[in-house]
Amino acid sequence: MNTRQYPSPPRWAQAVLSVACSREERPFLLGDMEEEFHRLCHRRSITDANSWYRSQALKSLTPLYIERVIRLLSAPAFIGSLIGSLVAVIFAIALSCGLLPFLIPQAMLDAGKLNSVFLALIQLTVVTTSAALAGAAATFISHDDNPLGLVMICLVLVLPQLVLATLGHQPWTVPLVGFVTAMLGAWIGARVISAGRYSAGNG
Amino acid sequence: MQKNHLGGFEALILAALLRNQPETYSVPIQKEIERVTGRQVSIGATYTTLRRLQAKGFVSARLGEPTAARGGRAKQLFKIEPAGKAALEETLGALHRMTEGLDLSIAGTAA
Repeated sequence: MNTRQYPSPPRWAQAVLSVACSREERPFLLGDMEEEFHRLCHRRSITDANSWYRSQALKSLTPLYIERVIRLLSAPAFIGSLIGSLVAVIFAIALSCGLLPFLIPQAMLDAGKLNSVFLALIQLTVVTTSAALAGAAATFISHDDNPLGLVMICLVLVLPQLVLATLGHQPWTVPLVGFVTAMLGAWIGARVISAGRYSAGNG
Repeated sequence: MQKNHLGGFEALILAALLRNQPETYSVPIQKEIERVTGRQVSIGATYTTLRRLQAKGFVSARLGEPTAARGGRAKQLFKIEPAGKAALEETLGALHRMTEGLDLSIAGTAA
């Protein structure tokens, strides 16, 4: 089967669709879209085909996400996700507390040598690492990518920063950057576990 | 009869499946609805509705062969089941009974 003779649909639109679809439906939906894309390339032009693919990908986001949320909330998957998320959140908090002493040398604390940039970097490292491991744990426990769990983990991890920002002790950029890096970490952790499980399932 | 109740888009999907018998996949269904009704429909909405109908037992699916044009991915072909036909008939019948004798023209609603 030689696929090189066919042009490829827009990469970003493919990526957007891949993320929005559930794992089970991804190959069918992407396959249907790609088949139609090639038909349009052949009958009209690559520009028309690209335009069709982009528009379909964007229009499909809302129904696909709504469907995922409905599926997530339906028992017993939701219960599994909830238990997985709670365990992962506890794990993330414990990990954050456990990692911190190793990342900040006692000598620096004693000497009062910590500046704000260094402290922020340490916070981000702790939040991202904890989120990655907790995201992996949530995915492992609930047997799915578990978006609810990932968001819960990230919110819990940046909660102290959110409180400080609300009280005016630090700028809002700190929890925002923390949340984004935590989501990234949690997503990567979840993907690694999913990919491992998928390969194991097919190997 | 309560379980046979269909949403508007579900009824359109089942009708498109009937028009594309014996079996078809998401893109022809989406195109058929757009062509006949003039309504803009996304593949994502078509797919999620097909899944819902499958879960209700109104539609069945089988795997087709993977092709190079699909990037080596398998195709899923959908077919309307007798329960789906019955549900569509029931929904259309209910709609017909509800609107029978009503004046649906613009002048009628304005009056």
